[in-house]
Amino acid sequence: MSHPEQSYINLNQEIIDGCRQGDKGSQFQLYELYYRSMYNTSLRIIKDTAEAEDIMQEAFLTAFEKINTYEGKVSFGSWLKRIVINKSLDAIRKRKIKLSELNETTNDFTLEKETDESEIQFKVENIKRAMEKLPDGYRMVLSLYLFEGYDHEEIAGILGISSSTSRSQFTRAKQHLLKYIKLDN
Amino acid sequence: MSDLEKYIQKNKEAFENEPPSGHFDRFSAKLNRLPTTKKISLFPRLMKVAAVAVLVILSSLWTYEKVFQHNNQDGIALSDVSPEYKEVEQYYQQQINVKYGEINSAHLFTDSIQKRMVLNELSEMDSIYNCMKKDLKTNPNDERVINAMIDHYRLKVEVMNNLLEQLQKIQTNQKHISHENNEI
Repeated sequence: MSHPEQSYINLNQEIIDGCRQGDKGSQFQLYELYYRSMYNTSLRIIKDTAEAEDIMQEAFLTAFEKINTYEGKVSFGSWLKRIVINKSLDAIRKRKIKLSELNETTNDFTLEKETDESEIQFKVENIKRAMEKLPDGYRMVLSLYLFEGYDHEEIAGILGISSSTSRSQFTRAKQHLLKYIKLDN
Repeated sequence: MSDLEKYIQKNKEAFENEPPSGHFDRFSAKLNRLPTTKKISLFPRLMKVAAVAVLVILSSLWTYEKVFQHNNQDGIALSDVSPEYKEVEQYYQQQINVKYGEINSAHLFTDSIQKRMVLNELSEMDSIYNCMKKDLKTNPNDERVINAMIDHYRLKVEVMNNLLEQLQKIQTNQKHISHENNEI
């Protein structure tokens, strides 16, 4: 990030250029490259497979229509991912779940003492199941941080909260997750 | 980095699922919804601006020619009155050009002074026509002027024909004379 003005050279620049010219072949090639990663990003937020697929595909169409606004300051994948995340969040909001709920503590169970990570045997399926049990707010912060690799400043920008809220929510969300995993085991 | 983060980083692939089957076909169908291939922009925006500017300049020049130059002319020619008269004028002018070419070919004249005199006479006829053009401008569509113009063309062609006949007679006479001289 030492040269923020420097254009990002994409590995698939030719395909992206084809998409800029509205070439259907290039557009499909780009889909083949990114669909899996984009689908999973949406699925982690939205939980529903059919809806996640629809959101992911609509995000591609939006990207193709607005490809002239892609300035190449970040990788194409990052740019596309933001579209996927924004569309997924919109869908969540339509479900009437307000992001302000992030600030409320969910009291499914009380966390009397911190769960020690070293005690837990992690398994992919356990983590997935535990993620799905989390309330939307917690799940979003966790997946943006753990799976998409955003930092708290970036998450704050995406979710429209302060970075300190993001930090505290992440800590709480992670504690819940660990508890669920432990219960599952 | 906590154990959880490390574990997720290491097994990122395993956390990912494939979308429901048939998603490629569904995407293809959606892709066809998009407007068909945009025209590939051959010209950058600057070129487009330049092209428009050239068009504007050309069309304004054309308008200037048509509107202003036309009015600045000394008069209205026969061809400006109507398409029919334009044909008439073109016909006569073509005739005149042919005759003019014949007269102009030097061998018909015995000397160059004579030739210059004839050509001067013909160009004087042109000045009469120019006067009529001015008349037509002051009296637009005046039949008398238009008829006079047509008469003028007819007369000019007639004069030229006579002239050519005379010249050819002179030439044949000269040939006879030279033949006779040769025989003696």
